[in-house]
Amino acid sequence: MLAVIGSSVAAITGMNRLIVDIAMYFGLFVIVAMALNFQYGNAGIPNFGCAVQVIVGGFTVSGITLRLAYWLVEKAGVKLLPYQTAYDWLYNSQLNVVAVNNYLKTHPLLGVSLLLFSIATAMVLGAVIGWVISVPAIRLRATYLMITLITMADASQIFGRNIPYLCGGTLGIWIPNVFAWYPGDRGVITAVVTLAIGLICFFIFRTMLNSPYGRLMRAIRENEITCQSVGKNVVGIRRNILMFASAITAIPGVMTAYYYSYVVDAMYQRAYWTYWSWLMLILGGPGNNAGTFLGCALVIAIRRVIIVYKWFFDKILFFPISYFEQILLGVLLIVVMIFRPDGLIPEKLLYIPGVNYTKLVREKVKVDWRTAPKMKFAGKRRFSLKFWRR
Amino acid sequence: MDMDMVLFWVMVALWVIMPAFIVYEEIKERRALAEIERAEASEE
Repeated sequence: MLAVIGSSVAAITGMNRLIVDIAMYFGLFVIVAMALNFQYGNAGIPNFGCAVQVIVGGFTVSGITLRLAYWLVEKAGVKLLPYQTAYDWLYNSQLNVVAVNNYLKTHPLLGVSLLLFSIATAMVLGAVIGWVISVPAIRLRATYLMITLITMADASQIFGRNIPYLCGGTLGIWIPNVFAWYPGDRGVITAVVTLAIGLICFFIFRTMLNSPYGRLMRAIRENEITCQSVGKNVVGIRRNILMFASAITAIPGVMTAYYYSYVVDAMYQRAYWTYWSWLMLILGGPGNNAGTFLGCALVIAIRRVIIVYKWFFDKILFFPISYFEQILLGVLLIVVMIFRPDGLIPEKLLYIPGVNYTKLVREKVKVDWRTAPKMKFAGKRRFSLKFWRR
Repeated sequence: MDMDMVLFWVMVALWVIMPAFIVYEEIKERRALAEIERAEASEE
């Protein structure tokens, strides 16, 4: 069966390459959009610093994992060119990475370990950045918080551009191919891993949003003062949400670095990782996963098709093609804001999985929340006044 | 068989699983909520 299906794909070129590219970008952006939906759609935290968290993932690979890979490969006896000074670090990068790749070809376990190490480190550093972001987030109003986060995103890019040890400065730096042991196309395996991570993230977010904590997040979004009045630590919850979502958002940064086998600060522009992610969320509709997915799929498909078929659109447009992508998506945002301010799929009422509403309605059961402790003893004994007296 | 071809279809499957599951869940939830609303309306 697989052979029959497989035979219809000749090779990863042409249209298949475009499909792989769209799938990869869908995987990357769906993680960012889901994390943003988690923060803004459900907890009401307007995080305009997605680019900061993504850049942390990229810098983790170029600044930490790359050094670790060099060190491990050198320990294994492979001769590398010097990389201690900024000059050597930058100009010997390509030849050193080729040597590392040759070693990784025969050592798949090391490649997988480096990938897992990058993801784990990026998540920890992402959570730390989330904590740093949460410091002004607690004190500032939404508008000022947005400005602060946008500035932080720019600042992180400037750091990357001016510190060669971090990501090679303006020239960027080569990254070892952790999938060098795979005999086929690197793009396909990276896309599969990214989509698998996206699927895991989706189930994590889904479980969290359907849990009592998710309902608490929505309650904070709706009325913060009421939550505080019933003893909820709103500041602490917001900090936790930011830290968790930041940790998840750092993963696309790691996967982008491995997809291109290259890191440069320009890959992590705020316009790209923050504004496009917000457009996806607003287009699809914040507060529900279906909207996030729809928005993400639409924006990614439109963007990649425009980029790949620029030569075609160039013939029919009267202005430079390089502006077409921005104009089209800007117009899309305006149209959605005017005609569908709640997004293409508006948020619905809260539905708690596990509660059989149909049965509840048919049996006309009146839920009395005062009797909730009964659930603990269900099936064992009846909860009665006599029980209390004992 | 080329591994790229297998992974290509695994990728497509992963790409389809998430939206398909979300659509299924969304429809299920919306139906349940609509039924509750209908029941509440008929009670009133």
